[in-house]
Amino acid sequence: MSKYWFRQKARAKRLEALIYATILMLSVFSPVFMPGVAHAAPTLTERELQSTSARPSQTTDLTWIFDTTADVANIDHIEIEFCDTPLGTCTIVNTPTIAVSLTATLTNFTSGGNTASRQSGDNGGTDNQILIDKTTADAGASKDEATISLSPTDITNNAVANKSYYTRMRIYSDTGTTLVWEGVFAQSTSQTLTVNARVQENLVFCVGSTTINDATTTPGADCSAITGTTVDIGNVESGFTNVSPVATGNGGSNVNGIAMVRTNALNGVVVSYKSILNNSSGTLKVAGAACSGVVVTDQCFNAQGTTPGTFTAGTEKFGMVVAGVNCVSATAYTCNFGSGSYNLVRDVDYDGGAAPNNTYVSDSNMVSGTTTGQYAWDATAAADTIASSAGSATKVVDDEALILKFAVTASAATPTGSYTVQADFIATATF
Amino acid sequence: MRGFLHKINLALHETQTLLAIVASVLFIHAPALAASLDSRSVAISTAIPGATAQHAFAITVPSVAVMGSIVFEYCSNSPLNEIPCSAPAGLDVSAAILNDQTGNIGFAIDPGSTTANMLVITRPPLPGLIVPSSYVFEDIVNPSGASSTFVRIRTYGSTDGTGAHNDSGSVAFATNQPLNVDAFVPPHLTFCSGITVALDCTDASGFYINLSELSKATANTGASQYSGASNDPSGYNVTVLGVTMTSGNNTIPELSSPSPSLPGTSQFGINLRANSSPAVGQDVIGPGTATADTSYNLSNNFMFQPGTSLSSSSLSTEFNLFTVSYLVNVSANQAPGIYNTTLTFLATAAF
Repeated sequence: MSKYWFRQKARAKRLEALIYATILMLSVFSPVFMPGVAHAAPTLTERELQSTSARPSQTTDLTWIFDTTADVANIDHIEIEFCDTPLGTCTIVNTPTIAVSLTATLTNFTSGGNTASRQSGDNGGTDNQILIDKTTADAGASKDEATISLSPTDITNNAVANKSYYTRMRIYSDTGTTLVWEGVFAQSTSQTLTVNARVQENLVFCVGSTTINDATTTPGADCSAITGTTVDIGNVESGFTNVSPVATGNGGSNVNGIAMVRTNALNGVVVSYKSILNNSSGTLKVAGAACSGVVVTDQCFNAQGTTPGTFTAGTEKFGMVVAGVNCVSATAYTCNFGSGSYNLVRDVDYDGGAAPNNTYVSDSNMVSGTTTGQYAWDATAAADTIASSAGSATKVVDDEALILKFAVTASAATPTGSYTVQADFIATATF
Repeated sequence: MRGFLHKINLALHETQTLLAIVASVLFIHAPALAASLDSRSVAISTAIPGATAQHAFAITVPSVAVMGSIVFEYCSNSPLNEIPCSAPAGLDVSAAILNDQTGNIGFAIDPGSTTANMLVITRPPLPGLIVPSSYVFEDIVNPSGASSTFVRIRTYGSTDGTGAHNDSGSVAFATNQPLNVDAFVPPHLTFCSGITVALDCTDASGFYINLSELSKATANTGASQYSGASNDPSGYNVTVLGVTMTSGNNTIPELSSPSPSLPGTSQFGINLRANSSPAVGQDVIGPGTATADTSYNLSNNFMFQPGTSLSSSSLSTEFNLFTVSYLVNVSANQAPGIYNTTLTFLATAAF
């Protein structure tokens, strides 16, 4: 019995010694295993903070993405503290504003249910920290791309551009006592980048003569192809109306007039003309001759005026018509006069009259009887509009050319002579 | 070790953030751009190179920035303010007159700042009005070439177009040689004669009048026609050539002056009127301006003087149709025979 008691006592002493030794060992290594010291928690890896907007004062949808290490711990509370610096005392000069009511969406967690709320930061600041209280604590080891996303209106960026801020994330295995992971994320507001470009104003306008007598044959790629300054409508006999182009056999130059325009003016372009006065009259006349109203015995053709009309051979008249809009050279958009798809529209007084607006005036050379088209001519030197894109849906014009026909018929008494008139064509673009 | 890595990680974050800030400073165009003048245009009174013209500008100022001057800078190379301006050859705005202004008004030309290709208008600085404004300048000499010209328009707070501008925009106009239209009206004299002719000479028939047996008691008459027109600016003239009626050596005396018909008295004459005694002929018709010569323009009076003018127009004329009435009277002692004559009507224009 006594031997048995001593053996038991010795065993108890050895156990006691073992306990003491264990306690001593634990006391030696205690700093390593003491919980609750922040800087000792494992760091979240692959940290990324996405923002849908860096514009000052704009709401942004913030999303935190991170991995956890293989350390075994649960995730219960998550604190996200917004500060101006990644470490130390928290100031909130550059930080965004956190909404009172928050909604956090967690993905790649075992369970996503949570309650998010705003609170003051652990390290300073007011209403600068988000607490996410998971409904169910998850096993947090080795999370891959764990994601916390707030709703798009939860965060409003700081009002100042180009300011960095940091979010300090702390993950607790309990309600805020046992820190198991931590990491800092960075973001910044930025000035919006404004990209400016200017398309320089452009107006290219030229006037000349052309052998083209339709709206389907190119008169040349652009104004560089337009030459000539004269349209000769030949020998005018009272039995005919001469309409350009007049064949060389009839004394003409076999050309029409042409006015080509290209402009990027946003509000369109207006093409007008002014007859140039000679001895107070801007009609087709013998240079220097005095014109007397509508008589036929002066050396001046009677201008049709601004009200268009057809010409009857032998009844003295002079006029002009925009026979058609030749836009074969337009490359910037689909342009076809015959189908009505063009931008530079003839003025009603110069579109040939009764013909549909997209019909080319067919009169040419020596026309007997009555002309098909209607003609007009303002001999007063006032500016008269002949075409415009201002009323078109698309107002810019790419090398659309007005084919100008001139018509004249003499009476038997129209005095012989060489007749001439000059016209000043003007394009006015409104940008 | 873990703490060291943590610090490195934080340092990298800070570096990235700093780089982002530096990059944003480098690439962001910080200065605010001036606003663009709206609805801007220039209407020129003539596109003729080298001509003295009116240039009428229209703009809408987009801001209420203080405006003390506006610059209109003419350039041949570009509308962009950022590009050095090349003055258009021949252009001269230095003598321009500000003839009219609307909208933002109160401006006058600043001669001290205006050059050949830059027009500066000035006023005491005032806030701009966001309204359409127009400025009409006279006596601007167009560029000498046929080309496009750009006008850079800038508003300034200063009164002399110096310093940073407020708003700007450019317009463009094109100069072109005028288009000449030529025609030639060839000279024409259209004339026809016959027993009957159409007014426009598209028809003429007959060349022979038979008076049959001449009566001693009543007047013997006949008629023919001629018509003519000419675009000779000085008109045309018709004369009659020939002799009185003859039969061998016997003649019927011609009337040397306008005289009435006297049956029983030998006389030969013509006129161009409608007559009642005897009833023959008709007055001139047609839109032309030709008229009968006075001697042949008396109704019931006849005359025949070869080579004299029957009718004429002093200016170019449309067609006129004249009816020539012939009167033959014979006395009792008029020698018997077959009397005849051939008359020629001659139209002459001088051109």
